[in-house]
Amino acid sequence: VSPGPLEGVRVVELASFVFVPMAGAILAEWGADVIKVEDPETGDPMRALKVTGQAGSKVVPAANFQLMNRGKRSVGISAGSPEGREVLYRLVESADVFTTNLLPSSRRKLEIDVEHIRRRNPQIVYAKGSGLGFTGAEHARRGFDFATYWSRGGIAASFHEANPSPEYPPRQVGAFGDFPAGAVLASGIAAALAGRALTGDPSVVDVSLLSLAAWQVSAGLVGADGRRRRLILETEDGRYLALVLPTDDDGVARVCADIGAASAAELEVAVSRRPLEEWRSVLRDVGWVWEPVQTVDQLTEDPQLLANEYVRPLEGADGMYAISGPVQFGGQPPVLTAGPKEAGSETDEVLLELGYTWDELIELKINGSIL
Amino acid sequence: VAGPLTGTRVLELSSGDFAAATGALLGDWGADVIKLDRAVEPRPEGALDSHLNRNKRSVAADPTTAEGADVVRRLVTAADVFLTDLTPAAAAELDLAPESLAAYNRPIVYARGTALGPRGPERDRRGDDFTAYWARGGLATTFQLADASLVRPTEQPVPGFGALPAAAMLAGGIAAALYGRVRTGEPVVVDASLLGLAAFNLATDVAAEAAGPAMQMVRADLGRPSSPGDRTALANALVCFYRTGDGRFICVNAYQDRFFPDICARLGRPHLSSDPRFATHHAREEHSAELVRELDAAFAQRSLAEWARELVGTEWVWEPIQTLEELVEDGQFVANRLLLDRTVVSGPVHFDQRVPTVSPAPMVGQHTAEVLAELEEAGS
Repeated sequence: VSPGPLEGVRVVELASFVFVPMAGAILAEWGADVIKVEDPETGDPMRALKVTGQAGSKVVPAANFQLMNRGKRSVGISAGSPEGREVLYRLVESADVFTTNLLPSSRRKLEIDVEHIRRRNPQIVYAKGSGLGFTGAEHARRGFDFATYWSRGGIAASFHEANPSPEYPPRQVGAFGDFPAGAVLASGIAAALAGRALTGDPSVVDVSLLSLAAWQVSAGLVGADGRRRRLILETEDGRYLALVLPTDDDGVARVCADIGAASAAELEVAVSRRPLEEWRSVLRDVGWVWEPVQTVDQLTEDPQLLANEYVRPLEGADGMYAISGPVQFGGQPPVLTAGPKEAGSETDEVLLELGYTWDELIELKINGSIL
Repeated sequence: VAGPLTGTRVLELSSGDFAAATGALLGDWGADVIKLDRAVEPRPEGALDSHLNRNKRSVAADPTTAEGADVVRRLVTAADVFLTDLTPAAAAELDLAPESLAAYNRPIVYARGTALGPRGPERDRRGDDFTAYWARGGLATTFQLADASLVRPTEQPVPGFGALPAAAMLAGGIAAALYGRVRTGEPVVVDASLLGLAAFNLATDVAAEAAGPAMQMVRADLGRPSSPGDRTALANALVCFYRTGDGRFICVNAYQDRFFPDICARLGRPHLSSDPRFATHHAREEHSAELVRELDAAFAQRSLAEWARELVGTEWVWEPIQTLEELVEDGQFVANRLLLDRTVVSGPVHFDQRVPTVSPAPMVGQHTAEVLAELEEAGS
């Protein structure tokens, strides 16, 4: 396995919950050395959170925590104390990237805003994940993906409109917005690192739950409507085919001929005449695009998912699995390694690397600045 | 001011939204993106063409002819990145496989956006986000589980719903590869797929499924309402949708217990916070059906606009469920300049709080002469 392209990059993460920690997990997957800073008293609250997946499944909190904290080391630092903050600054001096999800008021209070961090490391890429963006009257407002991305961001309403249900819009649970937002923040950080390598100038990188929602529904915002050509049709055995009708009449005629329908209006009836397995062989080599609709159970067994190794056992965490980001390098899946078992698991190791002596560490532990 | 990828040249050969959107983002980020238009006929016009082909130049060439192949070879030689949605077999047919391009004199980053990933028996199967991400990737049935009134797999809310986030991630992977190339001198092949995004998007469920019972806390019907519209089985009534008096919806997203008294006070139901049924997190979980009904009654008292005034400045999170028409008028959407032009929406990443400039989507072959002249000049 070749090292990832971000080999040699150090990231310091002062972030909790899902969105910004997921950026750190992706950067680690891409080869970076990611150091998660956790409060010695509380740790990342995510360590205790039970998260429910869309399908109602729940993994144990320790396994869930690994989904967005795999591949990192954890250092316990009390960033609120002057001695602790100095340790954090020393760490920042050794880093290429700083990531945070703290609100502007907390960043100022802890003196970890861009100005303070850049004072100790002028070349650092400073990356923020927010709910509602970097400017505007509500930019300092707290956000969560269910409210900010799914609801305010127009996804729930689009979903409800596409799927008229007499009752409420469908819920979003299970970090559905946070996961991609984190991967997109990692993407912006990679671009900033490339920019710094090419020009010498670092950037401040911003991604918000609102900006991701806007991008994701942007085809709707600009008035594109492809829904009529996208069909979900039931098979004889209660499964479904998803197919895309071509834009030209000849293409539609080919789809109808392959399925055995006299016209597009009769596709539904024609599809209902055979079970899915028959359709798989009948439609195996057609030139138009279709797939069976799958459940999560079926997805997890999908030969393409297995062949591409998107789901991998976590090395160093027995029985746990993680899902890599969708990007792979060099035609190989990344190795996914376990993240910190506890807040501050690697405090000593990381700070000794930085040049602290045991005596200094003991002093800092006694006064509660580090864990 | 230019973006972080200024000075980087990308050659894009694509037919679908996924790779086109990737090229658009790389252009926003400062790269010189040259779209290779194969067809002699114009691209399908429409809103998506101007949205996903902004900030590119177009060179028309047909790689199946000797003359076109020569143009492509010159473009490849001058590029840092080759971006395509060709499947491995289709690329090989055009002599544009990674091995073929590696023979040129420049270490090029080869980036592929595919439906089902670069390996496996179906690696050459084509697809878009509706088929590979939404249907095969498990999204259509997953959202069906959240609402018992949905009796069949759900429709994808808007076109591009999976392709566009996948594009942002592929663009990031390309940037990471460019960083790695500066550091080591070596290019890599970068792959991203719509099926991979689906698994990543549903990571909580997929990880639980993969790990099996030992890692699962509950694998019951949690989160699955027992009857249409039944939201009362939810574990947390404070992370829930409520209907307002005018038939609109509010999303309450208040995880922390300390917010409960303020929620009750703001809703004009201060007594609820001292009600023993709701006094602790555990009690609220046990009596979530009753709490949902209490809050249903409270939210029904006022319109969405009235609630927006009542709830201004809360420390706990709530938001209205907005339509796309409302989203474009949203103060935060406007202030962050998320609409760059009538038919161009901003990418999700901002650098130094700058708004990228937008040059309109090129006509097919609009820049053929210009780009070829540049290559000529650089080569001489």
